[in-house]
Amino acid sequence: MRIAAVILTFLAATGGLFYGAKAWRESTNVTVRPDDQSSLPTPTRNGPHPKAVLVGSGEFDFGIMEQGQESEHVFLIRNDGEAPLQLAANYKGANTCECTVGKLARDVIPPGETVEVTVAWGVKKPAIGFAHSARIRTNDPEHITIPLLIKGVIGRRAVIKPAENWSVGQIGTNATVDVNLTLHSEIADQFKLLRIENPTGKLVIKSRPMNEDELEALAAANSASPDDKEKIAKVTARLKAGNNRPLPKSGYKITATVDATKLADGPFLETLTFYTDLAEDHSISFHLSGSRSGLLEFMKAAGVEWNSDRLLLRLGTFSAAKGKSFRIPMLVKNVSNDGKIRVRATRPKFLSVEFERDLDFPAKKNRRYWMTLTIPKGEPPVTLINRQKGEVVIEFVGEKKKRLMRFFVGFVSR
Amino acid sequence: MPRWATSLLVALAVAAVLAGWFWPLPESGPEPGGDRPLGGTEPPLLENWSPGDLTLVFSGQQHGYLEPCGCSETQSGGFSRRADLLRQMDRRGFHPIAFDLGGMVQRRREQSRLKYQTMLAALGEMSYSAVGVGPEDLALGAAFLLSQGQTEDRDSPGSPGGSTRPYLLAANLQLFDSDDLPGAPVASRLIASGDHTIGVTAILDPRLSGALEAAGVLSDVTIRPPEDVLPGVLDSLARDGATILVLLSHARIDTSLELARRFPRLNLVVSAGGPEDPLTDNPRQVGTTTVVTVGQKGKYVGVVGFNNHPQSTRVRFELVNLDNQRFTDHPKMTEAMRTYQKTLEQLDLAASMLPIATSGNRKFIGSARCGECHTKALSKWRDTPHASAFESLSTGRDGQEHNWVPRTFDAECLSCHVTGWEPQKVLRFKSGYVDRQASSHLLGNGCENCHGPGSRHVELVEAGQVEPSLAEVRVTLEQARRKICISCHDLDNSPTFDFDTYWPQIAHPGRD
Repeated sequence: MRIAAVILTFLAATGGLFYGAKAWRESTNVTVRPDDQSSLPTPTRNGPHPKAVLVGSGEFDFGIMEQGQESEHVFLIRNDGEAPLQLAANYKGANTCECTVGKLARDVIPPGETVEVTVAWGVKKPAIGFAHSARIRTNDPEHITIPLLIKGVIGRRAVIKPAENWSVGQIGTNATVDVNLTLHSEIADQFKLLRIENPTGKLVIKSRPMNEDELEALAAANSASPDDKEKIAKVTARLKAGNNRPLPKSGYKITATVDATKLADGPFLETLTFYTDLAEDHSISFHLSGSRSGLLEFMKAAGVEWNSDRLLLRLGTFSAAKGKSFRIPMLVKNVSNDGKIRVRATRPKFLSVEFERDLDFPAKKNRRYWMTLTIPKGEPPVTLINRQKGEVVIEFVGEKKKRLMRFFVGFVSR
Repeated sequence: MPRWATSLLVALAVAAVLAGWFWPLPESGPEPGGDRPLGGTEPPLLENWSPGDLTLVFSGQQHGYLEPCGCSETQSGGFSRRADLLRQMDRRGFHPIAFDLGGMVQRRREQSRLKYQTMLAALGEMSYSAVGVGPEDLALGAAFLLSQGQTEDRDSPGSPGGSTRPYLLAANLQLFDSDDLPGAPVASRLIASGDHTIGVTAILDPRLSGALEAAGVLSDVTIRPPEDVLPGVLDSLARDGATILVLLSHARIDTSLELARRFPRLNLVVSAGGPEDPLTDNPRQVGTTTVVTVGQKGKYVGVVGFNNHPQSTRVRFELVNLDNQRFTDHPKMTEAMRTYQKTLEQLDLAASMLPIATSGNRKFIGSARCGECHTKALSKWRDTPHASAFESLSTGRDGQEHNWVPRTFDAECLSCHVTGWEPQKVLRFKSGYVDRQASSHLLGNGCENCHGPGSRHVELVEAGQVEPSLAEVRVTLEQARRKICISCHDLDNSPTFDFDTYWPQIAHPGRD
């Protein structure tokens, strides 16, 4: 009995020592565990051991790459040890991105021999740059993993700045608005703008090549104003030295002029397509939108929804027999003088619209009115939604030019 | 005990220690917060957190991703999983107070406005207390933003079951040149929870106003320097009894860090502007202020815990990846999606949006017309998923059928599932797909999405001008690889796309 107790105590103690030692080591080494460890190379407890040596640098800079482009670099690993070197790549958690693939020419390398490890990278996502690693697992106890790093910047063949979609917002019915943009390349040292297409012919377009100063100002646009040459020089020098951001290499300045008198009231969407010699049949498009209106906005009111792009006031559904009245705050924007507002026309004709100036409204450049819009009771039922809408034309008198303002009305009366 | 037995026991004990020490261990993986693989390997949620502590949840920069980033369900994020996270926390006894940084949409269309409304209502369902304003939200229009703001007071916004819209929060915004407009974002909120009173405010970085200029709304908006308004707001919150001061900073991370330095009274700054997957350098400490980021596209939420002693402000942070392993759909969010899609249908938005012109006003004629001459190519196309791309919007993909919400009126989906749209910009060409009745010949991702509208090609063929007709529709493999396929098969929507693997599946002869 006493011997059995001694043996049991001893077994418990040895087990405790075993797990204690294991846990102690685990606590000093392991952080997060990759999923499947069983098939990965693992160092043997006893020698002889292999010795993995990276031939050359473990980091490669691809320089400027283009979206859609795929490139690869071959790293070399030599076995300077005395036992075969086992290698594994692409195990779960090995690579920082699914797009990076560490391909192995062989997975067991005899002592003294060298293996090629190909790391491929395809630029699939618009970004400024990339930096990823592929980890190679070995059975070298000194180098259980070898990180292979790749990096580079992603240059775009053609870029439109400030944006490919631009809205001028609401513009007055007689306004002329210049939209300035640039078309540049981060890949080509020079290129030709072959032609510019505006299918409606409603925009007036001018273009000219950019000079070196303008390209530098464009590179520094986020950090320096176009007139601050000293700051532009500092910023571009820093960007060039950093080599981590693609810079404009060549480009054109373009001005598109919107003449509101050529447009119908309401929203517009114009397309400019730039054809270049940057590649065969290369083109890039710019979309210019806005709304020709009298610069007005409706504010929050019960049962009403205002869409300022489409100049559309949605009033919902109600009984034609009972009719409905809405009291809605309306802003007339960019008013230089006090003036009077009056209704010119409505469609359907039975719409009644009245205005009352809010004299307490504190804003300087805007005027607020209370608009009472009434659909009288007993009028015939109508459905004015989506492609069929009602309309109200009003005018603001008091400024140098009479200002015409138009908005659309959507509702269903049953 | 015999001497030999003692020696044996000692030897065995030493052996046990050595065996334990040298027992093969799994390889050291990436550092915590590094590039650990998703799904299956995520740590338990809020392990060792105490439900009694004050818990705050932060999200932001959703950028239009109401669902998991892209349409691949293996990707992270989505409102449904976020609602499930909050439900799971609730079941475990946490009663988190949730805030969003704003930046909810990506584009500035009527659909974006509807999406914003849907998201705001969904955040209300999730009992969010306040939502900041990002430049993308302001780009929807100042009048629209006013229409979304709270105008009436309400009871504790963090209360369970509450479905009131959260407050819009921005301390440094002025709309239409006026400080006195109903629905305008409020400067701050005070929320009591247990022993704590949270004072939360938000700012928008004036340097982010480029989006407002591009949207044509800059003249309606004034963004004051945050450093001018924050002292007054923080004084006011402190006066009103705030024990924890939180700033929702819709700013670049360097600006947020600078604000943390300038206003050490802040306990927590939640910043926009970090990377999409903010797994490193997160959280950061600036003096006694903790600065965290929560990524983009709603893939993550940040959970911050304050232990429940008002005198002490020990902060814990966990960045929760909304993966499909730990989180599932929430019925209320599925319903929100259903309502959203139904409204798109009722408003007929896809059909009523302004179209863009094609080059030379060429027209889309439909794949069947192409197939009159190119019978083999048409036959091949009909066997590919491209041909049934529209139907997949009705039924969902394999495995998604159980709670799929049809989205055949959603322009953001249609642009890659019908013919005659510009996919990345989500714009309809003039002769492109309008609706099922008017454009039954343009259902599916047809020939002309790669080869261009076919009307001129047909005219040239009929005029006997063979070479120019071929030039009209010629697409090289290089062009397909470089720019055409990836306009739909992008990383968000087709993360495993590989041209060399996919192309052979649709390879087709040009002529019969």
